Amino acid sequence: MKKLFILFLLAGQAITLKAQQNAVINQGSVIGYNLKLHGQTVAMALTVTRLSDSVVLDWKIRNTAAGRYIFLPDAVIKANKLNFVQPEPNTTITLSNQTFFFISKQAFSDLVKHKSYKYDNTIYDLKGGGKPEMLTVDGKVISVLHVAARNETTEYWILNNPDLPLLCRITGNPLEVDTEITSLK
Amino acid sequence: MFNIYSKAASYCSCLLLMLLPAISQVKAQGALHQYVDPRIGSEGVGRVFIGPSYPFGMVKPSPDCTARPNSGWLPEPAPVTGFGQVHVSGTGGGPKYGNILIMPFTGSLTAIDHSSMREGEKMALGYYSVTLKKHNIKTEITTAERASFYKFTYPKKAAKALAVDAGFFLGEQPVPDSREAQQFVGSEVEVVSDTEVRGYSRIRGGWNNGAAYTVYFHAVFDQPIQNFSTWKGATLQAGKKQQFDSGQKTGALLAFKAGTSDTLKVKVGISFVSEGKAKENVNDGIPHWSFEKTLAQLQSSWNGLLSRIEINADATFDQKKMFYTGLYHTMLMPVNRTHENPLWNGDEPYYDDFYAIWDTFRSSNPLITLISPKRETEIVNALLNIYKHDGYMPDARSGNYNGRTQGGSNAEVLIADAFAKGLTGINYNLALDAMLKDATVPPGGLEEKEGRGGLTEYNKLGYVPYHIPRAGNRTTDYAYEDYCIAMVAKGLGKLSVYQRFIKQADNWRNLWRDNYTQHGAKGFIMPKDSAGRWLDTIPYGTSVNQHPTFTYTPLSREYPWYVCHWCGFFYEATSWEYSLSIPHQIPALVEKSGGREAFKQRLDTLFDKKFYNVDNEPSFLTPCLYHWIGRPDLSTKRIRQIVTENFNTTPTGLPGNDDSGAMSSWLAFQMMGFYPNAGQSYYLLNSPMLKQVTLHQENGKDFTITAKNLSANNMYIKAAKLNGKELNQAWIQHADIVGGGQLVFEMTDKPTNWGTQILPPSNK
Repeated sequence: MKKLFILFLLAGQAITLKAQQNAVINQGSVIGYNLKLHGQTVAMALTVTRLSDSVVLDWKIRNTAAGRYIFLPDAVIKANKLNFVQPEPNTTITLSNQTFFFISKQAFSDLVKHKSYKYDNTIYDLKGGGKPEMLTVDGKVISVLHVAARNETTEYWILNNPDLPLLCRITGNPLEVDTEITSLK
Repeated sequence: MFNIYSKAASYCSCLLLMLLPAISQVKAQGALHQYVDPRIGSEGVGRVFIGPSYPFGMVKPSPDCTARPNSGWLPEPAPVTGFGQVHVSGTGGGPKYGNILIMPFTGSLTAIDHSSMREGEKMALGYYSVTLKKHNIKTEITTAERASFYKFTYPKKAAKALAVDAGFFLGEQPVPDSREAQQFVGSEVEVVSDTEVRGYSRIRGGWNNGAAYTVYFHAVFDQPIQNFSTWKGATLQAGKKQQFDSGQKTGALLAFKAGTSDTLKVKVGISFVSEGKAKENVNDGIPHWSFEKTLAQLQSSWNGLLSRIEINADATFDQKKMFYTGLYHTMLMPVNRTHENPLWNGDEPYYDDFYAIWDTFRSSNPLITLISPKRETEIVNALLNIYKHDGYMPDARSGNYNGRTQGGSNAEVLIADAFAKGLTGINYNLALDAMLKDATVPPGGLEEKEGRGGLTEYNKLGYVPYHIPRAGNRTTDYAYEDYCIAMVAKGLGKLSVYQRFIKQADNWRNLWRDNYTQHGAKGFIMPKDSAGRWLDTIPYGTSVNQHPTFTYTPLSREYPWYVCHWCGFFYEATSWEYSLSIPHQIPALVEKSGGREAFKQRLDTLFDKKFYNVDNEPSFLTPCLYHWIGRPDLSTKRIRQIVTENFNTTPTGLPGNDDSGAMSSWLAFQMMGFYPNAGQSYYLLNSPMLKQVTLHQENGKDFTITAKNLSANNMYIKAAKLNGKELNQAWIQHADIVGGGQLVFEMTDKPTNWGTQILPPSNK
């Protein structure tokens, strides 16, 4: 009976997660961020130029530098590393095992199923008892999953969206790149 | 308008030239102002000032088309907000000035804003006119040095009115204390009599984040005010004579009697000291109501300077426009504010709007030295005047406030240049003190304002480590400036100073990474930390589980990630460019790059792959570097290519910010066929683009450069003679020019051996 109860609880949570999944990210969406890095605040915009088996993100920082990331299907599905190297302007970078500002579908699935996932040799645990949190962006409420690194200071707020689990907020990043989502169009 | 360069007139002047050389010079050059086209470089990135100005003139009236543009003016369809009295030319970053706005209108005194669309805009040296469509008012502007002159022509029998806005300024932003934005401090306006209005505008900030400056004005009208309203904030008060300064924007709306005349003439005296001085400036500068006379005096003043460099009469119209507009742009700034200094008094020269010396030291100041060594002496003495009272020479200064530093302490190059070229009337012992202050005393948290940022680390490590903003070009610039200090010290017999700084002149080598290659080029200036580790080997962050390293290549502009515009390793350039910016040790640079052939390949790659950035100053000398491997023909080829592809007579005819004439002076030098290595006494010789250039020097001696058989194909120098003797080197000394004489090139259509053997000075 106890096991059955737990199963019901898990199933219920999964349904809750699914019900609150945010569907506002589409091809063409533009996400605004404020990056806090190395003592400065810098505005960055990501445009979801392609959202399919592969993903294409166009980025622009301070309206002066811009470039493109192409994530091959392998990266979208099962990458296990985030790219925190400085984006190169006027360049298209193709990644097959890394993501940038989102986590892979496999990692997101692990998070939903197991309440934790492993990325960058680090285990991230779902916080808040596994319940999604709500962030308000541009007057819109979005559902995010709040995770914390097990032996690092990093915390991520990940968009509750299995198609593109975007990082919406980063705090305590030991790589010194924190961020906050500021707009979603 | 009579053009002395029409065919017939040209013929006549040739005859006069033969008969009466002294008179002919004046006549032949008398109308050179007509070749100045203020539109060149006014659109796009050039940002040049388009209104009338005296050479180095303090007052620069111009339309202000919204509060956004740096120079005040914007092309249509931007509306004209009004006409401000103080501007700068060719600058980037946040705007400065745009003070004391006046704007004509018709009708009742009920609104403050009278912005208007325009038509029929005309720009010429010393003259601007436009018709404001909203009320169909023609506006004409000219200026004296410290007072502007307006003539407004209203529709017949219209109710003539004028707004005087003491609260307007450029670069206002909604965010309080926004960086690089000008900030309002206070203003005041007073209707003094039925023909006078005075007041002031007090503003702080702007590009150099400067302290508050105050622009006082005294406006006079050629006909009486019939009635008026004044405003403070949003409140308009009819008949109130004065709005005192309570930290709000103020202004006046003035109505003039209808029927007596359709025109209204307005003179606006400006001062940075007081309203009384502003009144004196208008009374002394324009003691009459003749617009034409004021314009003629201004044109005459420019013609006197432009005629110092005479080019062949049969040069094409476009060549004349490009060349004389280049000279004109070079002499718009810095501005002469002697006796207009609110910070200390005295009769010594006081110049402001060094904007910035980092931009101008390479070509603008050397060109001013050739046109008017007396003027350059004044400018250098103004730097020393600032040093004596403010404690540091500026690398940039505006609104009576030093800042911002962009890299080196480049005023030192101006001093070394003056010393090397024998300018007299400068206290070089004091100048050396000023240079040593830069090089030995850290500015104590004011690195953005003056002095040398990262100086403690530089003097300890021999380079500026990467965690300090602009560490790369600070290191290369400081090394060059240390060379400049050494040369002045040596000349003054101060050998211990010389010995210290000549060693420090090698400091660029401490950031030279010998074994780094990219695109076939070997060795680059690269960022290091204080422990001597190259940046791309240093893990960043504090992560337990990840250890990424910085990405940095010689093509990187910013790192790590996108730190502020002023915080990258190099300012406004890459390592590809700055690694070639070692103007005192070019033979060593050639050697470190792998020898002559490797250096040639490196330069070829720089230009062919477009790593050379034409729109900024760090690479100004670079096309001439082929000289040091005995290939002046390749320098000429590159320079021709750069000029042809990037410079022209259109409003977008400058490839980058003109930066107080830096870009324009580079062009003028290249058209003449020689280029300075600023801070040193020689010029690199290149193929001229003009058949003949004569420098009529202040010392009374002429120096003429003649290119025989010059044509589009005949662009290579086959032989040269200096004062009748064969010259087999592609460089001459400043003394050769100052002494007067003739430099004659024989041109041909193929590269030759000329200038390949005796290379330019190596400074070993």
